[in-house]
Amino acid sequence: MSADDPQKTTLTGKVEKKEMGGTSKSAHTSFVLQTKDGDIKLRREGGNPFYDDFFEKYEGKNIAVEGFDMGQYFLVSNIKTTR
Amino acid sequence: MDIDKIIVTNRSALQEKYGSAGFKKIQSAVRQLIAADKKRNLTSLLVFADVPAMMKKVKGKAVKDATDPEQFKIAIDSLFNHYKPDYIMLLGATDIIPHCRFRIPIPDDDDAFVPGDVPYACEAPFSRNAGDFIAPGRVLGRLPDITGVTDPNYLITLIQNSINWKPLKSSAYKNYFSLSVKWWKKSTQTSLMNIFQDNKKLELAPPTKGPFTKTDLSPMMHFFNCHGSLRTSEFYGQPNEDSYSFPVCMESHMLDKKISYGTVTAAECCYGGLLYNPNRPNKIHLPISNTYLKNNAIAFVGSTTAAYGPSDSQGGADYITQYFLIAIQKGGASTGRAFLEAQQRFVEKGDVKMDPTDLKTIIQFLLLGDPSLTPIEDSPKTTPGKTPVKSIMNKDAHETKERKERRLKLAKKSVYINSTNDAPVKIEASVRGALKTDIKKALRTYKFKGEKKITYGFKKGKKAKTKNIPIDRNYRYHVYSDLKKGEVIDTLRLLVIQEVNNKVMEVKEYVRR
Repeated sequence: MSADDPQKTTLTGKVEKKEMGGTSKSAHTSFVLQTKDGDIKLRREGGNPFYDDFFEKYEGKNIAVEGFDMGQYFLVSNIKTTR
Repeated sequence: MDIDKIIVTNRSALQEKYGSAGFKKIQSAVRQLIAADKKRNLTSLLVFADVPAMMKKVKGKAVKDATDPEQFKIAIDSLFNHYKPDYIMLLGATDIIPHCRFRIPIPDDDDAFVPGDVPYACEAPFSRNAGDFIAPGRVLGRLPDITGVTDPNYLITLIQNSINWKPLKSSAYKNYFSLSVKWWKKSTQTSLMNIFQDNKKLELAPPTKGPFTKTDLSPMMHFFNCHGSLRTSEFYGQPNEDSYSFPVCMESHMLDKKISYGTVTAAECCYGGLLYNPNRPNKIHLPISNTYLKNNAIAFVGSTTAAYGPSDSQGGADYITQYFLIAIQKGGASTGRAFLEAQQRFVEKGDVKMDPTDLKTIIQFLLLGDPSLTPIEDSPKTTPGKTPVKSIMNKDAHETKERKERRLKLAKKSVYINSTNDAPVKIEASVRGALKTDIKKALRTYKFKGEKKITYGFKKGKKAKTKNIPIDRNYRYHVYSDLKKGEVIDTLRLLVIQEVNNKVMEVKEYVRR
């Protein structure tokens, strides 16, 4: 379920690959942001919702993402690499 | 006056969404629909569930909070019990009438809640337990508008399509358009054979990726077995289980002006029936379901959340979607009756004690469209060789009698299903002795590590009334998910182990799709 009225926010964490979708028909591997509050899937406007190779370059890196917390995923509008 | 169809909506939510002028246009269109229904021998009534006078008439409570499904469920129960209608049509998307939402825990499942409309079709009172709603008995569908969009023309178009619809000969629905993820080919082929006795027209993704011509999409039955995702206007293919490639194979704008009036669609895809807001937080295309209806389809069956089914055989989403299309194909059934028959057949066909993926399936699939529309005309009961009936007098009264009899049977069947089937609940349980050995053996056989597991049991006290058949068996399901990491490929599978009286009975495997 997407959040009803998401507001723009910023999250920080490390990008990793993770299995998503359990054993459903659309189980897949996606990129997630590992934050102090848990993992959240990263999605980009216009990006493939299952596997968006745009995030490959960030794998293993710490980043700050600006966008919308949609509940099951984070809709990324801007990314900054952090240290 | 007997009411055959109630059109339930929320006046204040519609007024707030569309403004006074937009609301009046919708109300006027509904009046025309009621007049058109009358010509179809249906007495329809528009009910605003939030208007106290309307709810007082049925000894019900008016809805005060448009976001509260409990209030709607109570109101719809009051309306149904008073009018005993043959059809319930919910008018509006989830910002007009919300779905009911349930927690259905499944290992590694992403959906915190599973929304659906099935409780509104059930006699059971409101609860937060999904297992109370496995036996729908009312014919119900939702004619949606677009969540969060304030232009009334979309909903008026859909209402006009209902007004103008006339059933067609069965030959109009013989042809189909079908699209499947490539490596789910076997499963989709089986579904198509079951529905159409043919699977030669199946298209696989990849390589199929659209766009599609009007001729491609002209068949009036559409069947999808593709990937879907949260808040996307696309369905996706995948070449094989291990691939990271999920190419877009259908996009909602590919449907524009290419759908035949009266098209009936069933989509197994995850989130295929999710009525998301296309404008917030960013603007994207309409959902595929909304787009089908906008382009003159009359019914769309899809899932609000992630759906389940095996890769090369049949189960879960495969069944409920194909049963719907099969019921349509028989002829004479409204889309609402066809969907109710599909729901009941799905539960009845399964184990007496449902496994958790089946519970999710019955909750998550819904019918979008006016449930009273009949795609294929019925063959006359007086057809020589079909029945001994030689002639029918009082045609309209006879038609009503026949419909009421069908509703009675469906309602009785709902009672039967409810008394014989049971839904699982998550429990804490340990396994010992021979059972533990057998489960370990199954895990080894199917190469599961057994790290993530949920056990399900069944509530005591729910027993069928049949005297001589012992059913006091102790059923449990042990569900394991297994994640296998590869260099490029990750595999995720689910092993559902059915235990009865401390013995393993069945082992089912759901391969990740």
